[in-house]
Amino acid sequence: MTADDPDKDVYDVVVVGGGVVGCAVARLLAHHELSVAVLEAGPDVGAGTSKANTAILHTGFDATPGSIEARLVARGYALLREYAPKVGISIEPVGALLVAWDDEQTAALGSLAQKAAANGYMRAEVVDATTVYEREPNLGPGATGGMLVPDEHIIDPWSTPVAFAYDAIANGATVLTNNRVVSCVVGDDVTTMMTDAGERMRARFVVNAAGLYGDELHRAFGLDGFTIRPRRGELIVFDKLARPLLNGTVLPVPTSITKGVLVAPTVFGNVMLGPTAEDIDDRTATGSTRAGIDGLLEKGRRILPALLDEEVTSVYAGLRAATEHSDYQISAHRDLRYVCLGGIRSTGLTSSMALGEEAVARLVECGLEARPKESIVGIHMTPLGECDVRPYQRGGQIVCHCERVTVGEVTAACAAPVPAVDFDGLRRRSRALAGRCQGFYCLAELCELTGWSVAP
Amino acid sequence: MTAGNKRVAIVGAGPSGLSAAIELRRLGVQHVTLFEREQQAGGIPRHTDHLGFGIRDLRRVMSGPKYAHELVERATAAGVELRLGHSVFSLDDLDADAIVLATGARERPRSARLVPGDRPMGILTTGSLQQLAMKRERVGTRAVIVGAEHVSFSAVLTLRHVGCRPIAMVTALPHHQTYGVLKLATATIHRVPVLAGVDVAEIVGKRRVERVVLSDGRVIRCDTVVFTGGWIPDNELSRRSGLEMGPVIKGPVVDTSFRTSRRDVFAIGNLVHRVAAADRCALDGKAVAAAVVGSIA
Repeated sequence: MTADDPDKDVYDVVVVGGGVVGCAVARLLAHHELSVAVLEAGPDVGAGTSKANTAILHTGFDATPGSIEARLVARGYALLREYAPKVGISIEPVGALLVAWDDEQTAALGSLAQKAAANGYMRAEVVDATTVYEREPNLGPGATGGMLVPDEHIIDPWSTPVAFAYDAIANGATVLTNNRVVSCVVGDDVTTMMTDAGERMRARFVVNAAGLYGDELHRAFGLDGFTIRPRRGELIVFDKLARPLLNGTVLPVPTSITKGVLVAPTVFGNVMLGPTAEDIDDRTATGSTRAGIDGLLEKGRRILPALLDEEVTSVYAGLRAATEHSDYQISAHRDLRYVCLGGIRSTGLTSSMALGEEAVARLVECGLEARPKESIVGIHMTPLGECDVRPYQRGGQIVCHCERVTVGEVTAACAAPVPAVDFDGLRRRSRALAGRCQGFYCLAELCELTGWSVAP
Repeated sequence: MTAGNKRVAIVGAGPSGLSAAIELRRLGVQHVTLFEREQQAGGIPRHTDHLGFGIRDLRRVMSGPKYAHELVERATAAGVELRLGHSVFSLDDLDADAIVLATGARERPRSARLVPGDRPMGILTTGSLQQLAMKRERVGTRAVIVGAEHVSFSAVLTLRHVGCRPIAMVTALPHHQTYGVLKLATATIHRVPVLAGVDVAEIVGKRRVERVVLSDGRVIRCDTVVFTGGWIPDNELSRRSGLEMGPVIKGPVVDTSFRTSRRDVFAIGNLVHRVAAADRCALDGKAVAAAVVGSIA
């Protein structure tokens, strides 16, 4: 796209959806000689499904062998594991332990180890109950066996999409928030999309990374084949003082009867319990429920009894973009110059960078010429995890005491390439307000620092 | 050796920490350092802008901010070294012969109370509400107050002050937990009904609070919910230091002279009481000083 180009307002590629997948796609596209824009319906990137997940970087040991998901999770794991420390996304190699609580689950461990091997993951190891308790001494009584998956990581799920967006912007991409696509006309050479904010976006190629609304955009291209039915997952985050109760992630053994819930440390130093899994119809129903919370606590009490004595820092629910199919719904349509990344469920955080590669490859199949840039601008974020050195440790003035967030981090979040525009965005970029007091001490000061009001 | 050339470090410059510091200086301790993580000393009374402070310790009736100011003035005059904006993450960082922990308490927020529903803007605690009011920030127009302790009635006053109408007080307990006169004043002057024996079952609203659903099915339209009381000690430093903790109050266990399970560490104020009035906490500060001097002399 150059100034004297007659199609100067035409982007080479527009990515619809600014979640972790859309931002990863935009990042990789921006590393090519292409003009790229992201259209995000909400007020911020990474603020939909991407913000509410279990924050685990999966090896993919338990994926369905041969599926697209299995391939992309394994690839995405390798890519993100390498990228994260380079740009300042906190990541910790805590490992995971699947714990069996009855004979049926113990019996299932062998086939899970085989499945891991079929997925190319060779380091899973079935262990007895003694080893289970050696590794996690605070587990409740009754564990009958387990399987170690030493390469499972935990990662900062908030900084990941944000880093991708910053990276894309640093390399020339445009990110437009508060722009929901309302219409889409595919012309001979250019696709024109109108947004609810009145933007007229013209693109040669379009990538669908619209998450929970991916099926709607797919239909706008005259296509069919999958319908999103959100799967709600509620999660409870416990106080950091609970962190010593756990060495690594404790995963359930999936059986025919129950999916079970996991207990996992977070890179922020908390302990997370969840998720529930409930198929619902409302794509906006991100509220937690009494039944969900009570059910999680009951399961948590069995897995890690002492956890229940700790304070709860937050309760939230996320919606996974589940479909009637078990695998990701990826397709490329040369005639429409359109690539769909649909039905990306809870593994999307892990597979995001591989989905970026997949999208570029599929766009090339559709006729896009993607020439890698000779030089790529690197980015660096301030890490938010406890395993990294944080600004308060270098003498920064703390404003949020629970999470030890400095004044400098707050002002930086508000001046970022995609700036925080509300307290939710600030929380995800800095951890301010994400701690145990939820603003008791610092909310008023944050209002003063940001200029934002809590009034409607 | 006497207490004269000894060092005492105090963590937290609220009423109890300030009072302990003043008294330690009066008893002749030469180096009294008071660490406060906020940029201002005074603790919670700084933003509790109504009368009722200083009665039992200063024998005067003052507003919270005046009371906080008075204690800070006295501490400064007494030669206490005030270290503001200084967080203490580990007791090992303190070079002191004795340590007094006075880190106070906070209100449990909505999440810790496991109230289900959406997570919109407009959900506060009394602490955040009062600080917003001190900065003349508006908060909303119609508020439901959760809890009926002393502090809940304080929240009613503050809401009035910032132009937000208190619609109802909701408490799961069968009765309100404060003086009858406060309840009467709330019901008559402020016309705020106290709904006892019910809980908030759900908060509804996407970007902004729209309504709360009560456990008996009633629905209250509002744009603000204030969670009041439900105090818990700010016990992170105590726990990370390995002090023996009490299971009920969740503060460090102390003996009659406020000594914790570690010989050189004392704990006072709402870190051990959770919900005592400011002047009661100040009296702790006075009382602990003698024990501290006795332990280091």
